[in-house]
Amino acid sequence: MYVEDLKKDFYEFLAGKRIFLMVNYDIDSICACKILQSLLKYKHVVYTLVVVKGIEDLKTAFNENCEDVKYFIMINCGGTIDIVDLLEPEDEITFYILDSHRPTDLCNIYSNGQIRLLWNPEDDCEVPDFHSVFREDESDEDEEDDDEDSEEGRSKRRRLGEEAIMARRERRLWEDNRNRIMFEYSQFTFYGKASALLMFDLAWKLNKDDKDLLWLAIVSLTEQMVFGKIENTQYVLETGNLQAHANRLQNRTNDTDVHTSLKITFEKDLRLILYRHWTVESSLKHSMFTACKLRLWSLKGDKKLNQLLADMGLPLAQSKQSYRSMDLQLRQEFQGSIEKLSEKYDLDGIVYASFTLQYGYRNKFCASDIVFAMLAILESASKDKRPEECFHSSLECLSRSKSNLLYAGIDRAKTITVKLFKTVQSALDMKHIVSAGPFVYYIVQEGCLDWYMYSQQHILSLLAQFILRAYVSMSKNRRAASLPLIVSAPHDIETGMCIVLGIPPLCENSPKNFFGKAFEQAAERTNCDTGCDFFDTAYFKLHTKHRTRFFDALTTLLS
Amino acid sequence: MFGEKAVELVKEVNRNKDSLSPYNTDLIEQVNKEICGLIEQNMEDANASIAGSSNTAAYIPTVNVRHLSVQRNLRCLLSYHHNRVRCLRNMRWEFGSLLPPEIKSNLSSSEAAWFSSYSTSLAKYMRSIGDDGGVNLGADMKPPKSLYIEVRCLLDYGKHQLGDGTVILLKKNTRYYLPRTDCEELIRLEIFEHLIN
Repeated sequence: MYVEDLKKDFYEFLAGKRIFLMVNYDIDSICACKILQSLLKYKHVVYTLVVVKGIEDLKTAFNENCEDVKYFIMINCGGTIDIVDLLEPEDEITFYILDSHRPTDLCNIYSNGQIRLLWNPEDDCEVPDFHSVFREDESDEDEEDDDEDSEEGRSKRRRLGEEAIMARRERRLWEDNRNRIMFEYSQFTFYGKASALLMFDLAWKLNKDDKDLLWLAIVSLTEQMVFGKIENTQYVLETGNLQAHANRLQNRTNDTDVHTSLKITFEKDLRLILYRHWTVESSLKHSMFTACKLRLWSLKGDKKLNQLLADMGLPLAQSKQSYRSMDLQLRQEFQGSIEKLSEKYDLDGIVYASFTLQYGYRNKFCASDIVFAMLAILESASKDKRPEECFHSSLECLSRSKSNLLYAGIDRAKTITVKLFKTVQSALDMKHIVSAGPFVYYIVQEGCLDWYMYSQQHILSLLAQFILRAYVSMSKNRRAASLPLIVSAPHDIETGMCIVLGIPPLCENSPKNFFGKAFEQAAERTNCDTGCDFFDTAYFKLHTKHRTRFFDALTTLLS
Repeated sequence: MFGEKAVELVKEVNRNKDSLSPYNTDLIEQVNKEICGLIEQNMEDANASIAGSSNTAAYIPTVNVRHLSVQRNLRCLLSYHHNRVRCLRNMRWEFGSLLPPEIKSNLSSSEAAWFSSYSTSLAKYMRSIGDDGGVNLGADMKPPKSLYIEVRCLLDYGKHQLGDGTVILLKKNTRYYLPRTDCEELIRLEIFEHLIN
């Protein structure tokens, strides 16, 4: 069921109670969790915070704590799974779920109060009617009666005859209809409004919002855009809302003192990764947007890049210097000159609206900088660092007193971007991106140096998007834009597991992903014993030796 | 030179500002002897000047010098004892009423007596304030800013019961938001790490 009044039924209800927070391992949930933590501190709610990476983690965490705690809050996990079925909780345990994954499981929506969903019911589109999906228990009893009758004797069967046949036929029709509705409902997986935005709304209604919380909401919205989880129109709408908040929270008297004030400004920005903390040339070369439009992995691309820099009036020596040490005039004109040349070089869309954060004299970050820094901290730490420690570091890096963590994250993000570019370049050069008919696929080999990086969810998704765009821009096949891409990377070399991700084709221009169902059916056909442990069903885990059979099954399924 | 040994005492206290060195009984005895010697000499000269009334004025500077040296020695002794006692008082607040044996061995008997009487009067005072049973002022040197604090668990401790009866499961690397009083013990045992934002 949906919670109507978040303030009364959620916040005031939990005041003074003991709760258990389960948070998913991604940037949106970290921001949402931080906002929620600051709100809960006002009401002295005793909480325990645990990170879950998949469904197994969720189960373990629940089983360990279900005797002691009665209220569980799940952030960005659990919305798409039937919780009551999975965890089998006692009746007095209540779950509050705030999940941006869609489509929400119908048992959660129609739950009678044990599962409470914290978002607007309008966010869930096309929810089927209760009666078309759930039916009273009579039909089950009819079935049992039928079975018993057939055992006892033919005479009784002849008596019930017509009625039973009609009931059974009706039930079969209802079931077929139900299966069809369920299939249509859960066919596409996508993302709804970011959880941190909802938390910020709650903070606003409670009058406990401030610029720090607003910045967290901005970061999580930018994360959704960077990873392609939401469409551009949705992004623009939400930035409009956030800009209104930024204007409201602006404090004109305090903001003049640069040293102590925290300023959030809404301005146009470029789709270049980390350009303020890097050199212009590197940023232009390794950002997915410019690399794919100008084909910067080829020699011709290099020449084009030099031409672009020359057209902008940026000397080559300056462009190889760190952005901060470029001439002041060049820095001020940089954005404008790229905008002017965007038409000539087919870079439309390089300018988009975003927010920048400024505090102190040195620290100026745009929202995507923070997203990449956090991604680096979460997913590219060395193998011996446990995920909980990375989670802890990324929570710390959001607080402004630990800006050295943030800068370390930004440095690592630069290496990730360069490695992504090089992987794509080698994939294109050696023609490792293979077309299998209805889709295109790419496999990260186990001998590859950075395989550990690609076993993480979000870096793998960045790689997939980059590869698909690069392939489409290089391919002479006219159908290339309508082919979806499947990427596979080794997940764990010792156990021989690999992770598979599918993304929709470029021509659809929509993040709705149908691979969840496809992977499930292919797994059934090939008798793979592993299931999808991830909350986002576009990912799948299986044994490397089953992979070829799996791909064959997918080919037959999708053609 | 008069007063040199007393200055040694003061230098010793200055060298060990936060800790207690062993009670320097030898030096103190020497200083005491010097004081007594000086006073005796003064008494002799005073008696001599009363007895023979010639050259009374000649004794005055010598007597004055000896008198001033005596006062200087006394001042140094006082400073030595006062600073030691102050250090001892800080240790009461740091360690509680039971001192570690290394420190106990450095005290003189009168210092030990002073310490126990200070502890008793402090305990009596702490019992008298606050509602029932008194307040343990030694728990926090600075007034705590919040009732609840956020902590991170550093090892798998297992089930733990809080003050109000609720049981929580302590696992490594999970964060908790708990009442301050329940966490202090565990922070001291290095099971919890206090997270300051």
